[in-house]
Amino acid sequence: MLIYAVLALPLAATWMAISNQLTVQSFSLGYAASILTLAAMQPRAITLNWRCLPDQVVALVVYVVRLFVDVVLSGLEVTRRILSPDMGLKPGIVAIPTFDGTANSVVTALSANSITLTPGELVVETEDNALMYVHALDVEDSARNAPGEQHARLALIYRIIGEGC
Amino acid sequence: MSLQEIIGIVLIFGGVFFSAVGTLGVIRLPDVYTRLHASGKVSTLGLVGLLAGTAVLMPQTTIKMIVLALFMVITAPVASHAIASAAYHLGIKPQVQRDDLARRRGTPTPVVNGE
Amino acid sequence: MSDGANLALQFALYVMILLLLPAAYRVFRGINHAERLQGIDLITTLLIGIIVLLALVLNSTFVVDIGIALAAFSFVGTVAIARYLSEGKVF
Repeated sequence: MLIYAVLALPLAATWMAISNQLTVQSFSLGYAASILTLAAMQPRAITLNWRCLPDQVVALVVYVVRLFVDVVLSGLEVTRRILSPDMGLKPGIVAIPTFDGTANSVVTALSANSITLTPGELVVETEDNALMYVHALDVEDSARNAPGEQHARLALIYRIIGEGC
Repeated sequence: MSLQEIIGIVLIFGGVFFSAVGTLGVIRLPDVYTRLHASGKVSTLGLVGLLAGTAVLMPQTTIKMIVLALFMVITAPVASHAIASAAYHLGIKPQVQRDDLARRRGTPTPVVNGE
Repeated sequence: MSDGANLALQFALYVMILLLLPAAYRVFRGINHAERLQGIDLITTLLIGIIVLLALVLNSTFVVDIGIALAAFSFVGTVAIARYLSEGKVF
């Protein structure tokens, strides 16, 4: 139950932001609605540990900032391909392991979200939370670089979900 | 024009440029999967540019713009993934040099994406 | 806002509205459902940009709320239709 009270705080803050009212009524309304929504969704996969919470929040912020950087980089990369005359396409679908021994679906979801925003890659299908089938604009390049990038990403994702903290 | 207006309008025209490139990519690229790279990433970048320009020109909407940009950046890959997955389940064959997913299924995927 | 800035914003708005035509071409002339869905997804992304530009041209902050609502609904709609296409059911 305590996890709902914590998770509802950012949702209530979002409600205050989009309703543009920094008042107590606005916060209470948003908080109540957030608690009800969370109770309906019942998120179980996230572990709450007070000692880890600051690090989890920092890791989440780093993750979101990296998503923004990835949007800009991959947008520029795909733009370069679209505007060049022959587009230099070598499309293909490669299987990339998540390297996650626990087969946690949250890890797979965060990895897939992040991979889709890296330049020239798009997740088509996942299998048993262990393999991701990635459509790439340049298949050889992706098959070479993606596993190393996934290793780096996994460390950040483990920090977000509070694994091994 | 003040400096604030110039920065805002440059950001907005950057956003319009990337939206145009995304639309051009959707016309120009050969199949659904490659087009998703254009519609999912480039037009999201264009929208983020437009939102940044609006936040500069109308400072009172900055918080809403940040929320909207966050929402778009988090949901755009999910929507792209949903469309790609649906396309593969519909049996649309990607024009690829290497297809690990078809190799796993053991059967060549049926050709629906003619032409 | 100065007149020059307003003129530039109106020009940007017209360009964005013209971009809807090629996206609509994808929807009407798509050869399968995934292409049409993709066209609709692109159209909603462009529409959010158009609404935000409209808020600037009309100098009204309330129009931005329409864009936020459209973003939320278009995401849910796209995912629901994609699930329907791939699995034959939404839930």
